[in-house]
Amino acid sequence: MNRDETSKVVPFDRRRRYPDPARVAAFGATARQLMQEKADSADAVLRVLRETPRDRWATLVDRPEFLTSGTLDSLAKLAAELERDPQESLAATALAIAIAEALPDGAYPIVVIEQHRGQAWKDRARALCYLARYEEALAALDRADAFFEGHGTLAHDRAIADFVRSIVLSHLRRFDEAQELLESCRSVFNDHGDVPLYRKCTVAAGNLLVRRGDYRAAREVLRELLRDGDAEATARARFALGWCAIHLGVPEEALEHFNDAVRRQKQLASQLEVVRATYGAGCALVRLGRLDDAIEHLTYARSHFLEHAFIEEAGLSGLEIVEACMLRDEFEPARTLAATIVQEFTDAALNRRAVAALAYLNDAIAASSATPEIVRHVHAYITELRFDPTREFVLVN
Amino acid sequence: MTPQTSPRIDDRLFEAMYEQYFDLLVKISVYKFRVPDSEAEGLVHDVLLAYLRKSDLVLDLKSWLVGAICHASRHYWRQNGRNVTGDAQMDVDRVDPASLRILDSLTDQIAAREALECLPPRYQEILRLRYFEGCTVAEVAERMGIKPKSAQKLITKGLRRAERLYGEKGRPK
Repeated sequence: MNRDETSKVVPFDRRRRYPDPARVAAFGATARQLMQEKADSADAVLRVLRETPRDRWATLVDRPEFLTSGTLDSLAKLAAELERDPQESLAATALAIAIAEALPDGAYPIVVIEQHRGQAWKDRARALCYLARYEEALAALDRADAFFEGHGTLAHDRAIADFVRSIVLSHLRRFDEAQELLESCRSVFNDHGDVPLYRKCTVAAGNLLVRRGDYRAAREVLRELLRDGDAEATARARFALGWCAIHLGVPEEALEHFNDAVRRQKQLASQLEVVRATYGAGCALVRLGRLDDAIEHLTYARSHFLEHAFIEEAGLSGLEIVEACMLRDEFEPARTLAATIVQEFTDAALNRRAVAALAYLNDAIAASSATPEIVRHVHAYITELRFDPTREFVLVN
Repeated sequence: MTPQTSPRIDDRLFEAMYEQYFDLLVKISVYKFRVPDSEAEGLVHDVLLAYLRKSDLVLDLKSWLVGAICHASRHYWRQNGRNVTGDAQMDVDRVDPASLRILDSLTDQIAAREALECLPPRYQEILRLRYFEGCTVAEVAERMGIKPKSAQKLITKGLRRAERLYGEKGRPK
Protein backbone atom coordinates (compact mmCIF):
# COMPACT_ATOMS: atom_id res chain seq x y z
CA MET A 1 0.00 0.00 0.00
CA ASN A 2 1.25 3.46 -0.76
CA ARG A 3 0.92 6.33 1.71
CA ASP A 4 -2.44 7.46 0.28
CA GLU A 5 -3.95 4.02 0.62
CA THR A 6 -2.57 3.60 4.14
CA SER A 7 -4.27 6.79 5.25
CA LYS A 8 -7.64 5.41 4.13
CA VAL A 9 -7.39 2.28 6.28
CA VAL A 10 -9.65 2.40 9.36
CA PRO A 11 -7.48 1.54 12.37
CA PHE A 12 -8.65 -1.67 14.03
CA ASP A 13 -7.26 -3.47 17.01
CA ARG A 14 -8.71 -6.96 17.47
CA ARG A 15 -8.21 -6.82 21.22
CA ARG A 16 -9.93 -3.50 21.66
CA ARG A 17 -13.66 -3.26 22.35
CA TYR A 18 -15.55 -0.80 20.24
CA PRO A 19 -18.80 0.81 21.40
CA ASP A 20 -22.05 0.53 19.54
CA PRO A 21 -22.12 3.59 17.21
CA ALA A 22 -25.83 4.13 17.98
CA ARG A 23 -25.06 4.37 21.70
CA VAL A 24 -22.17 6.76 21.07
CA ALA A 25 -24.43 8.96 18.95
CA ALA A 26 -27.18 8.90 21.59
CA PHE A 27 -24.66 9.79 24.26
CA GLY A 28 -23.30 12.68 22.21
CA ALA A 29 -26.80 13.98 21.55
CA THR A 30 -27.73 13.80 25.26
CA ALA A 31 -24.51 15.52 26.24
CA ARG A 32 -25.07 18.38 23.80
CA GLN A 33 -28.70 18.71 24.88
CA LEU A 34 -27.74 18.94 28.56
CA MET A 35 -24.96 21.45 27.93
CA GLN A 36 -27.11 23.59 25.67
CA GLU A 37 -30.00 23.65 28.13
CA LYS A 38 -27.64 24.51 30.95
CA ALA A 39 -26.24 27.45 29.01
CA ASP A 40 -29.67 28.64 27.91
CA SER A 41 -31.21 28.42 31.37
CA ALA A 42 -28.46 30.05 33.40
CA ASP A 43 -29.77 33.61 33.15
CA ALA A 44 -33.31 32.95 31.99
CA VAL A 45 -34.31 30.97 35.08
CA LEU A 46 -32.88 33.49 37.51
CA ARG A 47 -34.63 36.32 35.67
CA VAL A 48 -38.02 34.61 35.90
CA LEU A 49 -37.45 33.78 39.57
CA ARG A 50 -36.62 37.41 40.31
CA GLU A 51 -39.82 38.52 38.59
CA THR A 52 -41.97 35.99 40.45
CA PRO A 53 -42.87 36.32 44.15
CA ARG A 54 -41.28 33.47 46.07
CA ASP A 55 -44.61 32.11 47.27
CA ARG A 56 -45.61 31.66 43.63
CA TRP A 57 -42.47 29.84 42.50
CA ALA A 58 -44.25 26.51 42.72
CA THR A 59 -46.56 27.59 39.88
CA LEU A 60 -43.58 27.80 37.50
CA VAL A 61 -43.71 24.04 37.14
CA ASP A 62 -46.70 24.60 34.84
CA ARG A 63 -44.52 26.38 32.29
CA PRO A 64 -43.32 23.79 29.76
CA GLU A 65 -40.10 25.70 29.04
CA PHE A 66 -39.14 25.18 32.69
CA LEU A 67 -39.28 21.39 32.43
CA THR A 68 -35.64 20.97 31.47
CA SER A 69 -32.42 19.67 32.90
CA GLY A 70 -30.97 23.17 32.46
CA THR A 71 -33.60 24.69 34.76
CA LEU A 72 -32.76 22.05 37.35
CA ASP A 73 -29.06 22.88 37.07
CA SER A 74 -29.83 26.55 37.69
CA LEU A 75 -32.05 25.73 40.66
CA ALA A 76 -29.40 23.43 42.12
CA LYS A 77 -26.93 26.31 41.91
CA LEU A 78 -29.37 28.59 43.70
CA ALA A 79 -30.09 25.93 46.31
CA ALA A 80 -26.38 25.69 47.05
CA GLU A 81 -26.26 29.36 48.08
CA LEU A 82 -27.50 28.52 51.54
CA GLU A 83 -25.43 31.13 53.28
CA ARG A 84 -26.87 33.98 51.26
CA ASP A 85 -30.53 33.18 51.89
CA PRO A 86 -31.45 29.75 53.27
CA GLN A 87 -35.18 30.33 52.83
CA GLU A 88 -34.68 31.14 49.16
CA SER A 89 -32.57 28.00 48.77
CA LEU A 90 -35.35 25.98 50.35
CA ALA A 91 -37.92 27.49 47.99
CA ALA A 92 -35.62 26.69 45.04
CA THR A 93 -35.45 23.05 46.11
CA ALA A 94 -39.26 22.83 46.32
CA LEU A 95 -39.53 24.05 42.73
CA ALA A 96 -36.68 21.75 41.65
CA ILE A 97 -38.46 18.73 43.12
CA ALA A 98 -41.70 19.66 41.37
CA ILE A 99 -39.91 20.10 38.03
CA ALA A 100 -37.79 16.94 38.38
CA GLU A 101 -40.85 14.85 39.14
CA ALA A 102 -42.72 16.40 36.22
CA LEU A 103 -39.99 15.68 33.65
CA PRO A 104 -41.67 13.66 30.92
CA ASP A 105 -40.49 10.09 30.38
CA GLY A 106 -38.13 9.97 27.47
CA ALA A 107 -37.04 13.61 27.78
CA TYR A 108 -33.66 12.26 28.92
CA PRO A 109 -32.19 8.83 29.59
CA ILE A 110 -33.74 7.38 32.74
CA VAL A 111 -30.48 7.51 34.68
CA VAL A 112 -30.27 11.29 34.09
CA ILE A 113 -33.90 11.80 35.15
CA GLU A 114 -33.44 9.78 38.35
CA GLN A 115 -30.19 11.61 39.04
CA HIS A 116 -32.05 14.94 38.84
CA ARG A 117 -34.87 13.72 41.07
CA GLY A 118 -32.50 12.35 43.68
CA GLN A 119 -30.39 15.48 43.64
CA ALA A 120 -33.41 17.75 44.07
CA TRP A 121 -34.43 15.84 47.22
CA LYS A 122 -30.84 15.79 48.47
CA ASP A 123 -30.59 19.59 48.00
CA ARG A 124 -33.83 20.01 49.94
CA ALA A 125 -32.43 17.88 52.76
CA ARG A 126 -29.33 20.05 52.85
CA ALA A 127 -31.39 23.24 53.07
CA LEU A 128 -33.60 21.73 55.79
CA CYS A 129 -30.53 20.67 57.75
CA TYR A 130 -29.16 24.20 57.47
CA LEU A 131 -32.41 25.46 58.97
CA ALA A 132 -32.15 22.86 61.76
CA ARG A 133 -35.24 20.96 60.50
CA TYR A 134 -33.47 17.66 60.93
CA GLU A 135 -36.33 15.16 60.90
CA GLU A 136 -37.69 16.64 57.67
CA ALA A 137 -34.17 16.52 56.25
CA LEU A 138 -33.98 12.78 56.97
CA ALA A 139 -37.32 12.21 55.27
CA ALA A 140 -36.10 14.14 52.20
CA LEU A 141 -32.95 11.99 52.12
CA ASP A 142 -35.09 8.85 52.13
CA ARG A 143 -36.78 10.21 49.00
CA ALA A 144 -33.41 10.92 47.41
CA ASP A 145 -32.18 7.41 48.18
CA ALA A 146 -35.23 5.89 46.53
CA PHE A 147 -34.09 7.42 43.23
CA PHE A 148 -30.41 6.62 43.60
CA GLU A 149 -30.62 3.07 44.89
CA GLY A 150 -31.88 1.61 41.64
CA HIS A 151 -28.81 2.80 39.74
CA GLY A 152 -25.37 1.52 40.65
CA THR A 153 -23.94 4.14 38.32
CA LEU A 154 -25.20 6.84 40.71
CA ALA A 155 -23.03 5.61 43.62
CA HIS A 156 -21.27 8.99 43.75
CA ASP A 157 -24.59 10.86 43.98
CA ARG A 158 -25.78 8.48 46.65
CA ALA A 159 -22.59 8.99 48.64
CA ILE A 160 -23.17 12.76 48.56
CA ALA A 161 -26.66 12.17 49.94
CA ASP A 162 -25.15 9.89 52.61
CA PHE A 163 -22.71 12.64 53.49
CA VAL A 164 -25.61 15.05 54.06
CA ARG A 165 -27.36 12.35 56.10
CA SER A 166 -24.31 11.90 58.30
CA ILE A 167 -24.29 15.64 59.03
CA VAL A 168 -28.00 15.55 59.92
CA LEU A 169 -27.47 12.50 62.16
CA SER A 170 -24.57 14.17 63.93
CA HIS A 171 -26.83 17.15 64.68
CA LEU A 172 -29.32 14.69 66.12
CA ARG A 173 -26.52 13.18 68.20
CA ARG A 174 -26.86 9.83 66.49
CA PHE A 175 -23.09 9.70 66.40
CA ASP A 176 -22.47 6.02 65.67
CA GLU A 177 -24.74 6.02 62.64
CA ALA A 178 -23.23 9.30 61.43
CA GLN A 179 -19.70 7.96 61.74
CA GLU A 180 -20.51 4.72 59.95
CA LEU A 181 -22.05 6.64 57.06
CA LEU A 182 -19.14 9.06 56.90
CA GLU A 183 -16.67 6.20 56.60
CA SER A 184 -18.72 4.56 53.89
CA CYS A 185 -19.13 7.68 51.76
CA ARG A 186 -15.51 8.66 52.27
CA SER A 187 -14.57 5.32 50.77
CA VAL A 188 -16.85 5.96 47.76
CA PHE A 189 -15.29 9.40 47.21
CA ASN A 190 -11.87 7.81 47.43
CA ASP A 191 -12.86 5.20 44.84
CA HIS A 192 -13.95 8.01 42.50
CA GLY A 193 -10.76 10.02 43.07
CA ASP A 194 -12.89 12.86 44.45
CA VAL A 195 -10.33 14.58 46.65
CA PRO A 196 -12.43 17.66 47.63
CA LEU A 197 -15.31 15.56 48.93
CA TYR A 198 -12.91 13.13 50.59
CA ARG A 199 -11.45 16.11 52.45
CA LYS A 200 -14.91 17.30 53.43
CA CYS A 201 -15.52 13.89 54.98
CA THR A 202 -12.37 14.28 57.06
CA VAL A 203 -13.53 17.72 58.24
CA ALA A 204 -16.93 16.21 59.07
CA ALA A 205 -15.26 13.36 60.97
CA GLY A 206 -13.38 15.95 63.04
CA ASN A 207 -16.56 17.93 63.68
CA LEU A 208 -18.33 14.74 64.69
CA LEU A 209 -15.70 14.09 67.35
CA VAL A 210 -16.09 17.69 68.54
CA ARG A 211 -19.85 17.17 68.90
CA ARG A 212 -19.20 13.91 70.73
CA GLY A 213 -17.02 15.82 73.16
CA ASP A 214 -13.90 13.85 72.23
CA TYR A 215 -11.83 16.99 71.73
CA ARG A 216 -8.42 15.37 71.87
CA ALA A 217 -9.27 12.83 69.18
CA ALA A 218 -10.88 15.59 67.11
CA ARG A 219 -7.69 17.61 67.36
CA GLU A 220 -5.67 14.75 65.92
CA VAL A 221 -8.00 14.33 62.94
CA LEU A 222 -8.24 18.05 62.27
CA ARG A 223 -4.50 18.68 62.48
CA GLU A 224 -4.05 16.25 59.60
CA LEU A 225 -6.05 18.64 57.44
CA LEU A 226 -3.70 21.52 58.26
CA ARG A 227 -0.87 19.52 56.72
CA ASP A 228 -2.97 18.95 53.60
CA GLY A 229 -2.80 22.62 52.64
CA ASP A 230 -6.22 22.94 51.00
CA ALA A 231 -7.60 26.44 51.68
CA GLU A 232 -11.20 25.57 52.52
CA ALA A 233 -10.38 22.44 54.50
CA THR A 234 -7.74 24.36 56.49
CA ALA A 235 -10.19 27.16 57.27
CA ARG A 236 -12.82 24.71 58.49
CA ALA A 237 -10.27 22.70 60.46
CA ARG A 238 -9.00 25.86 62.18
CA PHE A 239 -12.55 26.74 63.17
CA ALA A 240 -13.20 23.30 64.66
CA LEU A 241 -9.79 23.32 66.36
CA GLY A 242 -10.78 26.62 67.95
CA TRP A 243 -13.76 24.94 69.63
CA CYS A 244 -11.61 22.01 70.70
CA ALA A 245 -9.24 24.46 72.39
CA ILE A 246 -12.15 26.30 74.06
CA HIS A 247 -13.45 23.03 75.51
CA LEU A 248 -9.98 21.89 76.53
CA GLY A 249 -9.55 25.16 78.43
CA VAL A 250 -6.86 26.70 76.22
CA PRO A 251 -8.41 30.02 75.12
CA GLU A 252 -5.10 31.46 73.82
CA GLU A 253 -4.83 28.60 71.34
CA ALA A 254 -8.54 28.92 70.52
CA LEU A 255 -8.15 32.61 69.71
CA GLU A 256 -5.25 31.85 67.40
CA HIS A 257 -7.28 29.21 65.53
CA PHE A 258 -10.38 31.41 65.25
CA ASN A 259 -8.41 34.42 64.04
CA ASP A 260 -6.76 32.27 61.41
CA ALA A 261 -10.17 30.88 60.39
CA VAL A 262 -11.53 34.45 60.05
CA ARG A 263 -8.61 35.42 57.81
CA ARG A 264 -8.94 32.35 55.61
CA GLN A 265 -12.73 32.54 55.33
CA LYS A 266 -12.41 36.19 54.29
CA GLN A 267 -10.08 35.06 51.50
CA LEU A 268 -12.67 32.47 50.51
CA ALA A 269 -15.36 35.19 50.62
CA SER A 270 -17.47 33.01 52.88
CA GLN A 271 -19.31 35.70 54.81
CA LEU A 272 -21.26 33.54 57.22
CA GLU A 273 -18.22 31.45 58.11
CA VAL A 274 -16.36 34.70 58.87
CA VAL A 275 -19.18 35.60 61.26
CA ARG A 276 -19.09 32.17 62.91
CA ALA A 277 -15.33 32.31 63.38
CA THR A 278 -15.64 35.85 64.77
CA TYR A 279 -18.17 34.53 67.27
CA GLY A 280 -15.67 31.83 68.27
CA ALA A 281 -12.95 34.46 68.70
CA GLY A 282 -15.35 36.48 70.87
CA CYS A 283 -15.93 33.43 73.10
CA ALA A 284 -12.17 32.90 73.42
CA LEU A 285 -11.67 36.57 74.33
CA VAL A 286 -14.32 36.33 77.09
CA ARG A 287 -12.40 33.38 78.57
CA LEU A 288 -9.16 35.34 78.32
CA GLY A 289 -10.74 38.26 80.19
CA ARG A 290 -10.24 40.65 77.25
CA LEU A 291 -13.78 41.84 77.66
CA ASP A 292 -13.77 44.98 75.48
CA ASP A 293 -12.40 43.04 72.51
CA ALA A 294 -14.81 40.21 73.25
CA ILE A 295 -17.86 42.48 73.23
CA GLU A 296 -16.71 44.07 69.97
CA HIS A 297 -16.33 40.66 68.27
CA LEU A 298 -19.57 39.29 69.69
CA THR A 299 -21.59 42.37 68.78
CA TYR A 300 -20.38 42.09 65.20
CA ALA A 301 -21.30 38.38 65.10
CA ARG A 302 -24.69 38.93 66.74
CA SER A 303 -25.72 41.66 64.31
CA HIS A 304 -24.81 39.51 61.31
CA PHE A 305 -26.60 36.47 62.71
CA LEU A 306 -29.70 38.60 63.17
CA GLU A 307 -29.33 39.91 59.65
CA HIS A 308 -29.37 36.32 58.36
CA ALA A 309 -32.27 35.46 60.70
CA PHE A 310 -30.15 32.98 62.68
CA ILE A 311 -31.97 33.83 65.88
CA GLU A 312 -30.51 31.03 67.96
CA GLU A 313 -26.90 31.86 67.05
CA ALA A 314 -27.66 35.54 67.62
CA GLY A 315 -29.07 34.64 71.04
CA LEU A 316 -26.00 32.59 71.96
CA SER A 317 -23.72 35.46 70.87
CA GLY A 318 -25.90 37.77 72.97
CA LEU A 319 -25.50 35.52 76.02
CA GLU A 320 -21.72 35.71 75.68
CA ILE A 321 -22.06 39.51 75.67
CA VAL A 322 -24.31 39.30 78.75
CA GLU A 323 -21.60 37.26 80.47
CA ALA A 324 -18.92 39.77 79.48
CA CYS A 325 -21.07 42.63 80.79
CA MET A 326 -21.58 40.86 84.10
CA LEU A 327 -17.86 40.22 84.43
CA ARG A 328 -17.47 43.99 84.06
CA ASP A 329 -20.23 44.51 86.68
CA GLU A 330 -22.42 46.21 84.06
CA PHE A 331 -25.74 44.71 85.08
CA GLU A 332 -28.14 47.10 83.38
CA PRO A 333 -26.88 46.49 79.80
CA ALA A 334 -26.79 42.77 80.64
CA ARG A 335 -30.41 42.83 81.79
CA THR A 336 -31.56 44.84 78.76
CA LEU A 337 -29.81 42.49 76.35
CA ALA A 338 -31.16 39.37 78.09
CA ALA A 339 -34.69 40.79 77.80
CA THR A 340 -34.11 41.50 74.09
CA ILE A 341 -32.96 37.91 73.52
CA VAL A 342 -36.07 36.57 75.29
CA GLN A 343 -38.20 38.70 72.95
CA GLU A 344 -36.31 37.53 69.83
CA PHE A 345 -36.72 33.87 70.80
CA THR A 346 -40.41 34.41 71.56
CA ASP A 347 -41.04 36.22 68.26
CA ALA A 348 -39.26 33.48 66.33
CA ALA A 349 -41.34 30.83 68.13
CA LEU A 350 -38.19 28.96 69.17
CA ASN A 351 -38.29 26.15 71.71
CA ARG A 352 -40.38 27.40 74.66
CA ARG A 353 -37.94 25.73 77.06
CA ALA A 354 -35.21 28.01 75.72
CA VAL A 355 -37.49 30.99 76.25
CA ALA A 356 -38.21 29.84 79.81
CA ALA A 357 -34.48 29.45 80.58
CA LEU A 358 -33.77 32.91 79.19
CA ALA A 359 -36.65 34.35 81.19
CA TYR A 360 -35.16 32.76 84.31
CA LEU A 361 -31.84 34.43 83.54
CA ASN A 362 -33.58 37.72 82.92
CA ASP A 363 -35.34 37.53 86.29
CA ALA A 364 -32.10 36.56 88.03
CA ILE A 365 -30.30 39.59 86.58
CA ALA A 366 -33.20 41.84 87.60
CA ALA A 367 -33.04 40.41 91.12
CA SER A 368 -29.25 40.92 91.17
CA SER A 369 -28.78 37.21 91.84
CA ALA A 370 -27.33 36.30 88.42
CA THR A 371 -23.70 35.29 88.04
CA PRO A 372 -21.56 34.61 84.95
CA GLU A 373 -21.89 30.90 85.83
CA ILE A 374 -25.68 31.13 85.50
CA VAL A 375 -25.28 32.81 82.10
CA ARG A 376 -22.96 30.01 80.97
CA HIS A 377 -25.38 27.41 82.32
CA VAL A 378 -28.26 28.91 80.29
CA HIS A 379 -25.98 29.14 77.25
CA ALA A 380 -25.06 25.45 77.57
CA TYR A 381 -28.70 24.49 78.07
CA ILE A 382 -29.84 26.30 74.90
CA THR A 383 -27.03 24.65 72.94
CA GLU A 384 -28.12 21.26 74.29
CA LEU A 385 -31.73 21.90 73.28
CA ARG A 386 -30.67 21.74 69.63
CA PHE A 387 -29.94 18.07 70.08
CA ASP A 388 -32.44 17.24 72.77
CA PRO A 389 -35.43 19.55 72.35
CA THR A 390 -37.32 18.02 75.28
CA ARG A 391 -34.54 18.37 77.85
CA GLU A 392 -35.73 20.09 81.03
CA PHE A 393 -33.97 23.15 82.40
CA VAL A 394 -32.37 22.50 85.78
CA LEU A 395 -31.73 25.51 87.98
CA VAL A 396 -28.19 26.09 89.21
CA ASN A 397 -27.51 26.80 92.85
CA MET B 1 -33.29 32.15 25.95
CA THR B 2 -29.87 33.45 25.02
CA PRO B 3 -28.30 31.21 22.40
CA GLN B 4 -25.83 33.90 21.40
CA THR B 5 -24.14 33.62 24.81
CA SER B 6 -24.02 29.84 24.80
CA PRO B 7 -20.56 28.35 24.77
CA ARG B 8 -19.63 26.58 21.55
CA ILE B 9 -20.05 22.90 22.13
CA ASP B 10 -17.56 20.74 20.29
CA ASP B 11 -19.49 18.40 18.01
CA ARG B 12 -17.27 15.39 18.61
CA LEU B 13 -15.99 16.08 22.10
CA PHE B 14 -18.35 13.74 23.94
CA GLU B 15 -18.19 10.97 21.37
CA ALA B 16 -14.40 11.09 21.54
CA MET B 17 -14.54 10.79 25.33
CA TYR B 18 -16.95 7.87 25.03
CA GLU B 19 -14.68 6.05 22.63
CA GLN B 20 -11.59 6.82 24.68
CA TYR B 21 -12.85 5.26 27.91
CA PHE B 22 -15.31 2.65 26.66
CA ASP B 23 -12.77 -0.12 26.19
CA LEU B 24 -11.12 0.36 29.59
CA LEU B 25 -14.41 0.54 31.48
CA VAL B 26 -15.94 -2.49 29.79
CA LYS B 27 -12.81 -4.51 30.51
CA ILE B 28 -12.92 -3.58 34.18
CA SER B 29 -16.55 -4.58 34.41
CA VAL B 30 -16.06 -7.82 32.50
CA TYR B 31 -12.69 -9.01 33.79
CA LYS B 32 -12.70 -7.70 37.32
CA PHE B 33 -16.35 -8.22 38.13
CA ARG B 34 -17.26 -10.81 35.50
CA VAL B 35 -20.31 -8.85 34.41
CA PRO B 36 -21.60 -10.31 31.11
CA ASP B 37 -20.32 -8.36 28.09
CA SER B 38 -23.61 -6.92 26.93
CA GLU B 39 -24.58 -5.87 30.46
CA ALA B 40 -21.16 -4.32 31.01
CA GLU B 41 -21.58 -2.19 27.91
CA GLY B 42 -24.92 -0.93 29.25
CA LEU B 43 -23.34 -0.11 32.60
CA VAL B 44 -20.54 1.81 30.91
CA HIS B 45 -23.09 3.77 28.91
CA ASP B 46 -24.94 4.71 32.11
CA VAL B 47 -21.70 5.61 33.91
CA LEU B 48 -20.82 8.03 31.12
CA LEU B 49 -24.33 9.51 31.21
CA ALA B 50 -24.15 9.92 35.00
CA TYR B 51 -20.85 11.75 34.57
CA LEU B 52 -22.33 14.34 32.20
CA ARG B 53 -24.08 16.36 34.90
CA LYS B 54 -20.97 16.32 37.05
CA SER B 55 -18.50 17.25 34.37
CA ASP B 56 -17.86 20.66 35.96
CA LEU B 57 -16.97 19.13 39.32
CA VAL B 58 -14.92 16.10 38.34
CA LEU B 59 -11.22 16.91 38.52
CA ASP B 60 -9.84 13.50 37.63
CA LEU B 61 -12.04 12.03 34.90
CA LYS B 62 -10.38 8.64 34.58
CA SER B 63 -10.43 7.95 38.32
CA TRP B 64 -14.04 9.04 38.52
CA LEU B 65 -15.10 6.79 35.67
CA VAL B 66 -13.16 3.81 37.00
CA GLY B 67 -14.67 4.30 40.47
CA ALA B 68 -18.13 4.60 38.98
CA ILE B 69 -17.87 1.43 36.88
CA CYS B 70 -16.56 -0.55 39.86
CA HIS B 71 -19.51 0.55 41.99
CA ALA B 72 -21.94 -0.02 39.13
CA SER B 73 -20.59 -3.54 38.56
CA ARG B 74 -20.88 -4.47 42.24
CA HIS B 75 -24.39 -3.07 42.24
CA TYR B 76 -25.16 -5.17 39.17
CA TRP B 77 -24.36 -8.34 41.06
CA ARG B 78 -26.22 -7.20 44.15
CA GLN B 79 -29.25 -6.72 41.94
CA ASN B 80 -28.71 -10.02 40.19
CA GLY B 81 -28.40 -12.13 43.27
CA ARG B 82 -24.73 -12.95 43.47
CA ASN B 83 -22.77 -12.17 46.57
CA VAL B 84 -20.09 -9.64 45.83
CA THR B 85 -16.83 -10.13 47.66
CA GLY B 86 -16.09 -7.80 50.54
CA ASP B 87 -13.66 -4.93 50.34
CA ALA B 88 -10.76 -6.92 51.73
CA GLN B 89 -11.15 -9.47 48.98
CA MET B 90 -11.66 -6.71 46.43
CA ASP B 91 -8.17 -5.51 47.25
CA VAL B 92 -6.67 -8.70 45.93
CA ASP B 93 -9.14 -8.68 43.04
CA ARG B 94 -7.98 -5.21 41.98
CA VAL B 95 -7.31 -4.90 38.26
CA ASP B 96 -3.74 -5.51 37.23
CA PRO B 97 -3.30 -3.63 33.93
CA ALA B 98 -0.74 -6.21 32.80
CA SER B 99 -3.27 -9.01 33.37
CA LEU B 100 -5.84 -7.12 31.35
CA ARG B 101 -3.40 -6.85 28.47
CA ILE B 102 -2.66 -10.54 28.59
CA LEU B 103 -6.31 -11.46 28.90
CA ASP B 104 -7.01 -9.37 25.83
CA SER B 105 -4.94 -11.77 23.80
CA LEU B 106 -6.65 -14.80 25.33
CA THR B 107 -10.25 -13.94 24.71
CA ASP B 108 -10.77 -16.86 22.42
CA GLN B 109 -11.67 -19.76 24.70
CA ILE B 110 -10.16 -22.50 22.54
CA ALA B 111 -6.92 -20.67 22.05
CA ALA B 112 -6.79 -19.98 25.77
CA ARG B 113 -7.24 -23.65 26.62
CA GLU B 114 -4.45 -24.54 24.22
CA ALA B 115 -2.28 -21.93 25.86
CA LEU B 116 -3.06 -23.44 29.26
CA GLU B 117 -1.77 -26.81 28.11
CA CYS B 118 1.67 -25.27 27.73
CA LEU B 119 1.83 -24.60 31.47
CA PRO B 120 2.91 -26.74 34.41
CA PRO B 121 -0.09 -28.46 36.15
CA ARG B 122 -0.20 -26.07 39.12
CA TYR B 123 -0.59 -23.04 36.88
CA GLN B 124 -3.08 -24.88 34.71
CA GLU B 125 -5.20 -25.61 37.75
CA ILE B 126 -5.11 -22.10 39.16
CA LEU B 127 -5.97 -20.46 35.81
CA ARG B 128 -8.70 -23.01 35.14
CA LEU B 129 -10.33 -22.17 38.48
CA ARG B 130 -10.02 -18.45 37.91
CA TYR B 131 -11.03 -18.15 34.28
CA PHE B 132 -13.00 -21.26 33.34
CA GLU B 133 -14.83 -21.85 36.62
CA GLY B 134 -15.17 -18.13 37.40
CA CYS B 135 -13.80 -18.34 40.96
CA THR B 136 -12.77 -15.16 42.77
CA VAL B 137 -9.16 -14.85 43.85
CA ALA B 138 -10.24 -15.66 47.38
CA GLU B 139 -12.07 -18.78 46.20
CA VAL B 140 -9.07 -19.87 44.15
CA ALA B 141 -6.88 -19.38 47.20
CA GLU B 142 -9.20 -21.43 49.36
CA ARG B 143 -9.39 -24.30 46.90
CA MET B 144 -5.64 -24.34 46.38
CA GLY B 145 -4.96 -23.99 50.13
CA ILE B 146 -2.89 -20.84 49.75
CA LYS B 147 -3.20 -17.17 50.72
CA PRO B 148 -5.17 -14.84 48.38
CA LYS B 149 -2.09 -12.72 47.70
CA SER B 150 -0.14 -15.81 46.67
CA ALA B 151 -3.04 -16.87 44.44
CA GLN B 152 -3.05 -13.45 42.78
CA LYS B 153 0.69 -13.67 42.16
CA LEU B 154 0.40 -17.18 40.69
CA ILE B 155 -2.44 -16.08 38.42
CA THR B 156 -0.50 -13.13 37.06
CA LYS B 157 2.65 -15.23 36.67
CA GLY B 158 0.68 -18.03 35.01
CA LEU B 159 -0.89 -15.64 32.52
CA ARG B 160 2.48 -14.21 31.62
CA ARG B 161 3.98 -17.69 31.14
CA ALA B 162 0.99 -18.76 29.07
CA GLU B 163 1.36 -15.75 26.86
CA ARG B 164 5.07 -16.33 26.40
CA LEU B 165 4.84 -20.08 25.78
CA TYR B 166 1.86 -19.68 23.50
CA GLY B 167 3.66 -17.00 21.55
CA GLU B 168 6.73 -19.23 21.17
CA LYS B 169 4.64 -22.13 19.85
CA GLY B 170 2.58 -20.02 17.53
CA ARG B 171 -1.14 -20.28 17.18
CA PRO B 172 -2.16 -23.89 16.34
CA LYS B 173 -4.03 -24.40 13.11
